[in-house]
Formats: sequence, C-alpha cells, structure tokens
Amino acid sequence: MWTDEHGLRRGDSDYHPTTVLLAVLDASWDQIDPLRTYLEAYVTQRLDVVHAERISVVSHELLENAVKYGTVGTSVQFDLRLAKLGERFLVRVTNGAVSSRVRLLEEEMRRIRRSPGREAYVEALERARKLPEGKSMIGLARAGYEGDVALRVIARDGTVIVEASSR
Amino acid sequence: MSELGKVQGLVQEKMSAQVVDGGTIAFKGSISLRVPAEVLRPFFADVHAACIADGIQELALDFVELEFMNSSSIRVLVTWLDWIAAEQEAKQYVLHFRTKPGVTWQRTTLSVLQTLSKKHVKISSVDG
Repeated sequence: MWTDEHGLRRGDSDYHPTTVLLAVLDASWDQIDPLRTYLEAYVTQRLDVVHAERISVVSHELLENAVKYGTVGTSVQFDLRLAKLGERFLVRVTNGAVSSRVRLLEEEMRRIRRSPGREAYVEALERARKLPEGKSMIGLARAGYEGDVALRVIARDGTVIVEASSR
Repeated sequence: MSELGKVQGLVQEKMSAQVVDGGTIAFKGSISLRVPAEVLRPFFADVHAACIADGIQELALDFVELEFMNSSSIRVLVTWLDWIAAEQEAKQYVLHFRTKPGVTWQRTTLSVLQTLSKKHVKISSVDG
C-alpha cells in the first residue's frame, strides 16, 4: 500500500480521489461562512453528518487563517477532495502570504507536531490566554483535533498551501 | 428584576445570544465573527457583571441551536472563564453548557474548555 501526494491511499478498488469542489474566492471574511454551510450540506447529503462536520470545521479554520494571515487583495483557492467513498478527504487552501506570516504558521505546525490532537488544542487555548485580545492562533490546532486530520504547510514564492488530510 | 434579566441581548446578522427564562443565555445561529473581542466580549462582560451582582451559582448557556463557533470566538469563552476564576471564591459561578447531542464540535471543544477550567465548566446534553 502506498499513498499519493495527498496522503490518499491507493491500491483499493474504491480509491477515487475526486475533487468535489474547487473554488477561488476573494480573500474576504464574508465568503467563509457561506462556503462552510454549503460544504456541510453537500457532504451531509452524500456521506454523513460526522464527516460533514469534520470537513466543515477544517475548511472554516483553514479559510479563516488564509483571510486573516494572507496577503491583502489576493485570492484564496479552496480544494476539497474525497476518496474511498468519502472515508478519506483532503482540504487544501492556497493563498498569498508574506514570509513573516508563513513563519507564524510554521511555528504553529511545529507545536502541533510536538503534541498533536487534543493536547495541541488544549495548549493552543492555554497559549491564547496570554496573547493580547484579538489574537488567538487556535484554528490549526482545532482543525487538527476536531477534523482528525494531518496538517501540512508548504510555502514557496510568496504562496502558502495548507493541507489537511484525514487520518 | 435581576441584573441578568436587564442585560441586552446580542443580535447580529447570523447569530443571536439572549437572556431567556431569567437565567439562561440562549445562543442561535453561527458565530464566526472576525473580531469577536469587539462584539462577544462586551456582551459576555455584561452577563458576567450581572451574574456577580445577582450572586448566581450557575449560568446555563444553551448551545442547542448554535450551529458553529469559530476559534476566535471560542477564545473569548476562555477569557470569560478567566474572569470567573479571578473573582473571590464565593462569587465564582459555573458555566453550564447545554449541548445538542451528535454535534461533534460542541462536545470536543467544550470538553477541552472543561480541561482548562474543571471547576467552572459543566456540560450536559439536551435530548429532543
């Protein structure tokens, strides 16, 4: 058994990595909620509520990060893929970001790798207590735990890709 | 009228939070505010001040009709728990979250909040 570039396993007859949604959005807060609501309804109809919720929370938090920390005036690309009849999924969000913002994401990723899952979420909330009002940096840890996903950040040439693949 | 009963509800385009039945805060909709510190925080601060004035031991937060809450808003709940913990022992109260069964984010997120503040967080699932 081997995995493809997105961590989706090949070798099974039901391996069908399908892009179910590819969207390019303005980096605007107003775009996030409607997309999450649409995704949740779409996935609930085709799979089940549990998968829909996982995909929904991961998508929302990744899109919020892209809008909050992305380069102003650029667009955000959102890509949802399903495989193994929806058992496995991949959410990928791509946006422009300056290097200081990318470093913040990479630091957060290092913390999550050190203590993944629930522990990362608890630690992120503990850390947020000490940050100034308005700063939270909780989103990735929450997405990792509530979505039960492996997270990856890829940065190159002013673009950052955050991928979340289901475990 | 109790101080809590006088607190003005919070009504936004996609969400609302209102004092109902004299001692419960009922949340509805989806809380995905960009800057919740400017919207949720003042409301929570009013509710907290009212709870202290009324000497409330437990405040019910009804999440049954709350579809979603983003992480920045969850952070404001942590701030609220810190306010409670900073009060004199006798004035501290419990936030009792009433959740909808089967809504995963409510179960997972609130259980994490409970880890941060066991003494001040209670969770129960509301059937029906």
